[in-house]
Amino acid sequence: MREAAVDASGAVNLDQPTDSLAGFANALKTLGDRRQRVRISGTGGWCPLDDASASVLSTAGMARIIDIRPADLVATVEAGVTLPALEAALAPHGVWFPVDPPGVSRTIGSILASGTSGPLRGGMGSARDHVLGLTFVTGSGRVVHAGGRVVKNVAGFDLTRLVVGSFGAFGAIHSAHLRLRARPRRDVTLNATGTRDEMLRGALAIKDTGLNPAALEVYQPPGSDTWGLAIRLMGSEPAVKADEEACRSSSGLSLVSETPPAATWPRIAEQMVAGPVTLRMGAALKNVDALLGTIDAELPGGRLTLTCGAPAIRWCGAADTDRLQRFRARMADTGLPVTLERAPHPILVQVGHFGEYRDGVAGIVRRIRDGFDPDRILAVPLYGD
Amino acid sequence: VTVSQQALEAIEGIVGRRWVRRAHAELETFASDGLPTRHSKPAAVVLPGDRQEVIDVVRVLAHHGVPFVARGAGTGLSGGALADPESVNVALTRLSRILTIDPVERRAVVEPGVVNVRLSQAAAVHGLFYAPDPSSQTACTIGGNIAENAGGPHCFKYGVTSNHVTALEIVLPDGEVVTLGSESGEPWGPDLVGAFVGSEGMFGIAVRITVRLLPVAPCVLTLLADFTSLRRAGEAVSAIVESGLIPAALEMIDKNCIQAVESSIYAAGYPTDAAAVLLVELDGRTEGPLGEEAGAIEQMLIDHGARSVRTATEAAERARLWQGRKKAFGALGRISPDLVVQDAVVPRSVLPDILEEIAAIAETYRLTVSNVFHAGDGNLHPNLNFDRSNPEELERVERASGEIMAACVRAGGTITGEHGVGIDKLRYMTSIFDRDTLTAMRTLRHAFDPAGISNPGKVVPVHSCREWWAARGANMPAGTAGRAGTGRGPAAEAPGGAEAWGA
Repeated sequence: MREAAVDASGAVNLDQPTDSLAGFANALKTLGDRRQRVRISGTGGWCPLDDASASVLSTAGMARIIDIRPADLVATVEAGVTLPALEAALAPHGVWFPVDPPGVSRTIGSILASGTSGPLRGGMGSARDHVLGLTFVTGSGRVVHAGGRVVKNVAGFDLTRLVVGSFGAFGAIHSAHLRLRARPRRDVTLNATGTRDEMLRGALAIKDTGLNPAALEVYQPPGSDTWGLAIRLMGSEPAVKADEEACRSSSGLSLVSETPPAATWPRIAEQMVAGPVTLRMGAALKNVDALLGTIDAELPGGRLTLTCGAPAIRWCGAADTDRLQRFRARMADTGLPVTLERAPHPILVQVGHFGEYRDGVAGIVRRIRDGFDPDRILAVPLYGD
Repeated sequence: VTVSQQALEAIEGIVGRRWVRRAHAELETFASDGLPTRHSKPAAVVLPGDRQEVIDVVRVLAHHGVPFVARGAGTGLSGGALADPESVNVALTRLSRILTIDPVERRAVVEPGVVNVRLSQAAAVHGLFYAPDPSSQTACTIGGNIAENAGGPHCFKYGVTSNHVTALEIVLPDGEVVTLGSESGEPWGPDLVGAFVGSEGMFGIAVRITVRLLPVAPCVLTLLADFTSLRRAGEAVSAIVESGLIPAALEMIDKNCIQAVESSIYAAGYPTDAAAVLLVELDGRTEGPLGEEAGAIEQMLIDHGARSVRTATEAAERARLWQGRKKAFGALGRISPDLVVQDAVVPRSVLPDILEEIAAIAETYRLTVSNVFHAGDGNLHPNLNFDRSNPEELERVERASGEIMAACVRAGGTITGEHGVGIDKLRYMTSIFDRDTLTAMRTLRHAFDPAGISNPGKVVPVHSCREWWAARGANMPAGTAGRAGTGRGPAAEAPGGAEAWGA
């Protein structure tokens, strides 16, 4: 095993990705000792690596699937493993990882750091619900083993949930114990297209029946002015069949089943990185129509997708700093947090992944960072400048 | 009593004299929780009547540097709500209002003192329920559930407390009020709701809690399968979990526990000659498909050696089957003066092995062990009957508990799945977490409670960090030498933050 990016002379060779935990920790510690800010990168396909002031430490050398235990529904993987690689490794065991983030070939490290999940979030929970434990390296080079690899665990404070979705501000993820699901016996995707109003009414009618589809997504198909409703049903043959009938009768829509593997879901994921900026936000179903109207008006020209089960909205397009800040402030007034998932560095650094709209929260976060990364080695603009 | 008269008088001024308990006999009620091996009287107990009184009381306590311990119904099983004579218990049982139930967004906002089962009862008119259902749900409070990240039988399908809380209004230990999370679940920063849930009262007091509600499944079936071999029952659990069918609950009750239940008023009709029974509950929207799933599971149970499988469809019949499970601890409590309800988790594939190992440990220490637990999650509850007035037997219980924990950790598991660390399990924390990880936990605690006055001395042991400091030749922070294991004042804790990581 190579001992990482720090060579005998103490030089940090960032072109030679480290392949060990010790090397990863050592690289961070060495960079930290030199007060050299660093960004952690996976495949580089999610957020642009355009912060000239920070070095880039890649997880590409840490891409092993360490363990798959189908009987326990747990897999242990390194941060650099991509989602397609994980899916391919899990498939023969009849298990899967029910997280479908925006983007293409994201790494597990990237998915967990950004706490991001797609349409499946509505029916199966967000990324943080599928992580049992994490090993991460703090900004000061300390190795922390949070959580464990069992499905219930309340030993100590929940550092796992703290780190998932913190964009790497508290530490760089090295590996994770993931909670898997057994492959459902049947996995069906139903599609409809029409006006936004028709799709929304159909989705809410399905929800009102008490049905909880794995995904229930109202979205804008690429290159089209119409709207789409995509429904994913999973379970036993008879249960899925009954749910399918319930969807048809309650929505009143003409639902077409898609031949598996359904192309709708990867298409939605790709579309959410088609523009330079991606954001996610909470939603309320009561006034969702007005909310979508506001997004259209405030952030014109983008594409959005509504995860009805969560409920949550993801938007992708082009927008400048002022527009994003104005939009976030307006949403905060209605109690909806807006999280900037990805953007070019000049925008991200000013707008921040999160907005400071609740008194006291940023203070707690700052104190946590003071403990985990006192010198702010990890170049993560959690809150804007 | 070391809590100043001035502080107590200020608190009386806020809540009124009748809501401050100071007499020894009154304090006795608060000297224990569900853990029979520990006992500790607080200096005083304060019962605030509303959110503002909680805030004002915490501010007085913070001003005077008085440590405090929030307490719900006192049903906790790890000693987490016990306060020492230098601390004040803040009992939240009077904050018992369900503030809103929103059937469209499927959310409820409640005060911390709401009894768990009341929320589901109140939501039922909207066809909704609150999923986490600890066995103590008729007594325990949502606030306590937040502190412990409580589970329950139906968490197998629906997840634990942490999966159902979207927002919290908390009073930080310095009296500042902060809102974490939002109704939809998207946070205002990193997931501080996730960090707060399960922090065992060490990050402050939640005064308003927003939770998800789920639609009640109209069709429910409960299967009871009985096995002549504990091992075969464990194997059946793995087979069901791997099949991709997801029961709402998957519980196991072993022979000793069956016999205790069947000879009590909670008799559920379990076969008394079985080595174990499995209780499998399925829920869904439509009867036909559910019946087909039940048929498939029944076949799996029989294939794995079930002697018989009974299916209960009527509510009364199902309730009777569940009564044996839910009241098992009560039935076991009749056998001896005291009962330790242990809690640990193992990967479910090792369930058969670990149950044999636990039986061997109990035999070594001449104790009766009964298992009743969440088999689908691998969450064990080995229960040890004993008499605390017999110190020699108590010693054997403590040692057997330690060995059971060690066995579960060796099997790749953890020391608690839903009861928390509290005081009881502090000593095992170093068996699963290294020093840097424990220091990370203390750093997180420090961010919420720099003064270390909210439930000090629980969850994260200080001695490991002290050894770490000594080993590194660094100067130990003042007061690190805490009085471990009894619930202590803030001086027991080293400061967290950057300094605690050492040089």
